[in-house]
Amino acid sequence: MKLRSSVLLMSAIVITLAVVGLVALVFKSERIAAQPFKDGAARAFSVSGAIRQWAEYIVNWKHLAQENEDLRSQLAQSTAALAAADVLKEENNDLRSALHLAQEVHRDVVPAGLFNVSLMPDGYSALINKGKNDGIAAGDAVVTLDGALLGTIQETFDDSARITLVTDPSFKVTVRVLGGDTTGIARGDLADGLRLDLVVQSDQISEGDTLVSTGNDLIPAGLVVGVVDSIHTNDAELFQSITVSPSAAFGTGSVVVIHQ
Amino acid sequence: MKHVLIPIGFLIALAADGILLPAVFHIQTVSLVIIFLVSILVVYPFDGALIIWGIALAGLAGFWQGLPFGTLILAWLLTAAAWRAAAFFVDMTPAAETRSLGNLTLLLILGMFGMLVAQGLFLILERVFYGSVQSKVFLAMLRTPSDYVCAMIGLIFFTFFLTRFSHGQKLPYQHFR
Repeated sequence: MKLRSSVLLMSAIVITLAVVGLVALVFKSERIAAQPFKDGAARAFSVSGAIRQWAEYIVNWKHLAQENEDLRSQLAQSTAALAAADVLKEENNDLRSALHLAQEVHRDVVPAGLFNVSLMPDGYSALINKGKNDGIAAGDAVVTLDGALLGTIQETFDDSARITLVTDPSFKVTVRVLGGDTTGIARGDLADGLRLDLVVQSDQISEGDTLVSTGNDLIPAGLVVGVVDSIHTNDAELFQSITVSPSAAFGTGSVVVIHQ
Repeated sequence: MKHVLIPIGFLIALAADGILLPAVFHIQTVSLVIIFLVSILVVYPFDGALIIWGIALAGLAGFWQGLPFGTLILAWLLTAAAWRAAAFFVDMTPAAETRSLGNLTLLLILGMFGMLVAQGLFLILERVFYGSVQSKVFLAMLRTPSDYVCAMIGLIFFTFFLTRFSHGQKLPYQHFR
């Protein structure tokens, strides 16, 4: 059996050698290669390539979804970092302003954040996020970063303190007209701002004058208190009736506490 | 059903070789047709029917792929002769008749050598008879380790495929005896 198959194999080799040699000889070494199905094969190749392309699209879609998710995550992280940087930038500006203010008033200052502003009929007050632990004490002046007087510390807690705003009826500060000699006492008048008392009829003052603290009380000198809003004179009375618009805005934000 | 395994395997090799493998998987250096022709040597006992199958399939493959006349048939016949000669020195029980893992491993390793021999013979014969090596399919000889891995995977696949339903039953090609 094995011998027969071996003989068959040898015979096949010899016959094929002879046929191929003959063909090669007859056709003078020209290549005899018919490929009748090459168009069909080319089409099949094209279809297969298209299938691969579709598979790649699907894979890419999956990658795009993942990439989109990653980018969203990175965007969220970048936004958080930007917000943190913004806070640091603002804090840096506040510290620079506080440092500048400290040089102006020659006293120690503490930057703080203002929150919970309460403008109730019974009194105007607010809270700051610094308290006893930061060295804040009752009577300390609170000013805005541009140097406008906001109020004084009324009560201190461990990490916060309550401010009496300049428009609170219990608040008073000695002021003078910036660039003039006229002095008086500014008192809080709730929604009307402040009222300037003890300015006699003969004192020189006009609407639009800026009032600054004199330093004759517990509040440091040179702090902007407000601008004269209206003046009513009456010869029958001893003092002029003057209303003052406070310079400090009572919105939440950064403030500076000036130690006494 | 069983006797169509060889034609089905051959059609798979034809479709994959030069069409599916390069188009879908970008594998261009593996000739599945030669691997398949070697795998029938690995799987089935050596006899006259196997020789006839080999000649027919090699001829069809050459016709399909536009190879120089007779070179693939001759390359396969010479490889079969070498396979037959090797059987005098090594116990090469066909894969269809053994379940021994060691024997299968030996057959697969020898099958890889057989594939290289077939490819080399094809190139030599083409040069001898037709003066040049023009066949694009076979110009891409195995070069990198990944090519050899792909070739081995192809050989294992066809060996596995052709040995299905074989054990204890009449072998697929024996229906044609």
